[in-house]
Amino acid sequence: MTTNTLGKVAAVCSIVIIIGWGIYWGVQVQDTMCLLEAATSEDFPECMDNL
Amino acid sequence: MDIVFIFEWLDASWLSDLARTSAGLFSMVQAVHILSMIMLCGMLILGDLRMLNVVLTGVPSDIIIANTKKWIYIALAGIILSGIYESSAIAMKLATNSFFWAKMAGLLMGIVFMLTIRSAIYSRAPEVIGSNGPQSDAVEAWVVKLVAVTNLFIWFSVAANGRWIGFS
Repeated sequence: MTTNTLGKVAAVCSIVIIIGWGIYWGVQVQDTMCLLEAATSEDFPECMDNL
Repeated sequence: MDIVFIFEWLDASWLSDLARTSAGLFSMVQAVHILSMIMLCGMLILGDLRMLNVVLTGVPSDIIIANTKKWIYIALAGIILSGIYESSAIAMKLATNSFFWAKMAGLLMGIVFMLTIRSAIYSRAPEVIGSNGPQSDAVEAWVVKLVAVTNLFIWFSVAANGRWIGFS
Protein backbone atom coordinates (compact mmCIF):
# COMPACT_ATOMS: atom_id res chain seq x y z
CA MET A 1 0.00 0.00 0.00
CA THR A 2 1.44 3.38 -0.97
CA THR A 3 1.77 6.16 1.57
CA ASN A 4 -0.82 8.21 -0.28
CA THR A 5 -3.35 5.36 -0.17
CA LEU A 6 -2.56 4.68 3.47
CA GLY A 7 -3.22 8.30 4.31
CA LYS A 8 -6.59 8.21 2.54
CA VAL A 9 -7.59 4.93 4.24
CA ALA A 10 -6.60 6.32 7.64
CA ALA A 11 -8.54 9.53 7.07
CA VAL A 12 -11.69 7.70 5.93
CA CYS A 13 -11.52 5.22 8.83
CA SER A 14 -11.00 8.03 11.33
CA ILE A 15 -13.95 10.04 10.03
CA VAL A 16 -16.20 6.96 9.96
CA ILE A 17 -15.21 6.10 13.55
CA ILE A 18 -15.73 9.64 14.83
CA ILE A 19 -19.18 9.91 13.24
CA GLY A 20 -20.39 6.31 13.66
CA TRP A 21 -19.00 5.70 17.10
CA GLY A 22 -19.99 9.22 18.11
CA ILE A 23 -23.65 8.51 17.29
CA TYR A 24 -23.61 5.13 19.07
CA TRP A 25 -21.76 6.51 22.07
CA GLY A 26 -24.08 9.50 22.21
CA VAL A 27 -26.92 7.07 22.98
CA GLN A 28 -24.85 5.67 25.85
CA VAL A 29 -24.34 9.18 27.20
CA GLN A 30 -28.11 9.81 27.03
CA ASP A 31 -28.79 6.54 28.89
CA THR A 32 -26.27 7.50 31.56
CA MET A 33 -27.85 10.91 32.04
CA CYS A 34 -31.24 9.21 32.36
CA LEU A 35 -29.94 6.76 34.99
CA LEU A 36 -28.36 9.63 36.91
CA GLU A 37 -31.63 11.55 36.79
CA ALA A 38 -33.53 8.49 38.02
CA ALA A 39 -31.06 8.06 40.88
CA THR A 40 -31.25 11.66 42.03
CA SER A 41 -34.89 12.53 41.30
CA GLU A 42 -37.92 11.61 43.40
CA ASP A 43 -40.07 11.24 40.28
CA PHE A 44 -39.70 8.45 37.75
CA PRO A 45 -38.20 10.14 34.66
CA GLU A 46 -39.90 9.56 31.29
CA CYS A 47 -36.61 8.60 29.66
CA MET A 48 -36.55 5.39 31.73
CA ASP A 49 -39.32 4.01 29.50
CA ASN A 50 -36.90 3.97 26.58
CA LEU A 51 -34.07 2.17 28.37
CA MET B 1 -24.65 -15.21 17.68
CA ASP B 2 -25.61 -16.19 21.21
CA ILE B 3 -22.61 -16.00 23.51
CA VAL B 4 -24.48 -16.03 26.81
CA PHE B 5 -23.08 -19.52 27.41
CA ILE B 6 -19.64 -17.94 27.89
CA PHE B 7 -21.02 -15.79 30.71
CA GLU B 8 -22.85 -18.80 32.19
CA TRP B 9 -19.61 -20.76 32.14
CA LEU B 10 -17.71 -17.84 33.72
CA ASP B 11 -20.46 -17.40 36.33
CA ALA B 12 -20.15 -21.05 37.37
CA SER B 13 -16.35 -21.14 37.34
CA TRP B 14 -13.96 -21.29 40.33
CA LEU B 15 -12.80 -17.80 39.35
CA SER B 16 -16.29 -16.48 40.03
CA ASP B 17 -16.38 -18.20 43.45
CA LEU B 18 -13.01 -16.67 44.29
CA ALA B 19 -14.09 -13.20 43.19
CA ARG B 20 -17.28 -13.38 45.27
CA THR B 21 -15.71 -14.72 48.43
CA SER B 22 -12.43 -12.79 48.54
CA ALA B 23 -13.35 -9.13 49.01
CA GLY B 24 -9.76 -8.12 49.75
CA LEU B 25 -8.37 -9.77 46.64
CA PHE B 26 -11.21 -8.37 44.54
CA SER B 27 -10.48 -4.80 45.64
CA MET B 28 -6.77 -5.29 44.88
CA VAL B 29 -7.57 -6.61 41.40
CA GLN B 30 -9.90 -3.64 40.92
CA ALA B 31 -6.97 -1.35 41.74
CA VAL B 32 -4.80 -3.19 39.19
CA HIS B 33 -7.57 -2.77 36.58
CA ILE B 34 -7.81 0.98 37.21
CA LEU B 35 -4.03 1.47 37.35
CA SER B 36 -3.62 -0.47 34.09
CA MET B 37 -6.27 1.72 32.47
CA ILE B 38 -4.48 4.82 33.73
CA MET B 39 -1.15 3.55 32.37
CA LEU B 40 -2.68 2.64 29.00
CA CYS B 41 -4.48 5.96 28.59
CA GLY B 42 -1.43 7.85 29.87
CA MET B 43 0.86 6.25 27.29
CA LEU B 44 -1.67 6.72 24.49
CA ILE B 45 -2.37 10.33 25.45
CA LEU B 46 1.37 11.05 25.53
CA GLY B 47 1.82 9.76 21.97
CA ASP B 48 -1.36 11.38 20.65
CA LEU B 49 -0.68 14.79 22.22
CA ARG B 50 2.86 14.63 20.85
CA MET B 51 1.41 14.11 17.39
CA LEU B 52 -0.90 17.05 17.95
CA ASN B 53 2.20 19.10 18.83
CA VAL B 54 0.94 19.80 22.35
CA VAL B 55 3.53 18.08 24.57
CA LEU B 56 7.24 17.22 24.29
CA THR B 57 7.52 18.97 20.95
CA GLY B 58 11.33 18.99 21.21
CA VAL B 59 11.49 15.18 21.34
CA PRO B 60 11.29 13.22 18.06
CA SER B 61 7.95 11.40 17.90
CA ASP B 62 9.61 8.08 16.95
CA ILE B 63 11.34 8.00 20.35
CA ILE B 64 8.10 8.64 22.25
CA ILE B 65 6.10 6.06 20.26
CA ALA B 66 8.85 3.42 20.59
CA ASN B 67 9.21 3.97 24.34
CA THR B 68 5.49 3.89 25.10
CA LYS B 69 4.75 0.77 23.01
CA LYS B 70 5.99 -1.76 25.58
CA TRP B 71 4.01 -0.12 28.39
CA ILE B 72 0.88 -0.06 26.26
CA TYR B 73 1.09 -3.83 25.80
CA ILE B 74 1.78 -4.41 29.52
CA ALA B 75 -1.18 -2.20 30.44
CA LEU B 76 -3.44 -4.00 27.96
CA ALA B 77 -2.49 -7.36 29.46
CA GLY B 78 -3.23 -5.99 32.95
CA ILE B 79 -6.60 -4.60 31.85
CA ILE B 80 -7.73 -7.81 30.15
CA LEU B 81 -6.58 -10.23 32.87
CA SER B 82 -7.94 -8.16 35.77
CA GLY B 83 -11.08 -7.44 33.75
CA ILE B 84 -11.84 -11.14 33.28
CA TYR B 85 -11.46 -11.68 37.03
CA GLU B 86 -13.68 -8.70 37.87
CA SER B 87 -16.35 -9.63 35.35
CA SER B 88 -16.55 -13.20 36.66
CA ALA B 89 -18.15 -11.89 39.87
CA ILE B 90 -21.11 -10.36 37.99
CA ALA B 91 -20.95 -12.27 34.72
CA MET B 92 -24.71 -12.76 34.23
CA LYS B 93 -25.42 -9.10 35.00
CA LEU B 94 -22.83 -7.97 32.47
CA ALA B 95 -24.22 -10.24 29.75
CA THR B 96 -27.19 -7.88 29.36
CA ASN B 97 -25.50 -4.61 30.26
CA SER B 98 -25.34 -2.17 27.32
CA PHE B 99 -22.47 -0.17 28.84
CA PHE B 100 -20.40 -3.34 29.17
CA TRP B 101 -20.92 -4.20 25.50
CA ALA B 102 -20.18 -0.62 24.48
CA LYS B 103 -16.95 -0.83 26.46
CA MET B 104 -16.02 -4.16 24.84
CA ALA B 105 -16.79 -2.81 21.36
CA GLY B 106 -14.73 0.30 22.08
CA LEU B 107 -11.88 -1.76 23.52
CA LEU B 108 -11.76 -4.01 20.46
CA MET B 109 -11.98 -1.05 18.09
CA GLY B 110 -9.30 0.82 20.06
CA ILE B 111 -6.88 -2.12 19.97
CA VAL B 112 -7.39 -2.73 16.23
CA PHE B 113 -7.13 1.00 15.44
CA MET B 114 -3.99 1.35 17.56
CA LEU B 115 -2.20 -1.68 16.09
CA THR B 116 -3.05 -0.91 12.48
CA ILE B 117 -3.84 2.68 11.47
CA ARG B 118 -2.28 4.57 14.41
CA SER B 119 0.92 2.56 14.25
CA ALA B 120 1.25 2.86 10.45
CA ILE B 121 0.46 6.57 10.32
CA TYR B 122 2.64 7.59 13.27
CA SER B 123 5.67 5.85 11.76
CA ARG B 124 5.17 8.04 8.68
CA ALA B 125 4.69 11.35 10.47
CA PRO B 126 6.06 14.30 8.49
CA GLU B 127 9.03 16.35 9.68
CA VAL B 128 6.78 19.25 10.69
CA ILE B 129 5.12 17.02 13.33
CA GLY B 130 7.50 14.20 14.14
CA SER B 131 10.86 16.02 14.09
CA ASN B 132 12.38 12.72 12.95
CA GLY B 133 14.29 14.20 10.03
CA PRO B 134 13.17 14.39 6.39
CA GLN B 135 11.07 11.40 5.24
CA SER B 136 10.33 10.44 1.67
CA ASP B 137 7.16 8.48 2.54
CA ALA B 138 5.54 10.89 5.01
CA VAL B 139 1.75 11.24 5.20
CA GLU B 140 0.09 14.62 5.40
CA ALA B 141 0.12 16.39 8.77
CA TRP B 142 -3.67 16.70 9.01
CA VAL B 143 -4.06 12.92 8.66
CA VAL B 144 -1.69 12.35 11.60
CA LYS B 145 -3.66 14.83 13.71
CA LEU B 146 -6.99 13.30 12.70
CA VAL B 147 -5.75 9.85 13.73
CA ALA B 148 -4.56 11.27 17.07
CA VAL B 149 -7.95 12.85 17.78
CA THR B 150 -9.78 9.65 16.77
CA ASN B 151 -7.60 7.54 19.03
CA LEU B 152 -8.15 9.91 21.97
CA PHE B 153 -11.92 9.80 21.36
CA ILE B 154 -12.04 5.99 21.24
CA TRP B 155 -10.12 5.50 24.48
CA PHE B 156 -11.98 8.24 26.31
CA SER B 157 -15.25 6.49 25.44
CA VAL B 158 -13.86 3.13 26.62
CA ALA B 159 -12.87 4.61 29.99
CA ALA B 160 -16.21 6.40 30.36
CA ASN B 161 -18.24 3.30 29.52
CA GLY B 162 -16.20 1.31 32.05
CA ARG B 163 -17.17 3.81 34.72
CA TRP B 164 -20.82 3.82 33.66
CA ILE B 165 -21.15 0.06 34.08
CA GLY B 166 -21.34 0.86 37.78
CA PHE B 167 -24.32 3.20 37.25
CA SER B 168 -26.60 0.56 35.77
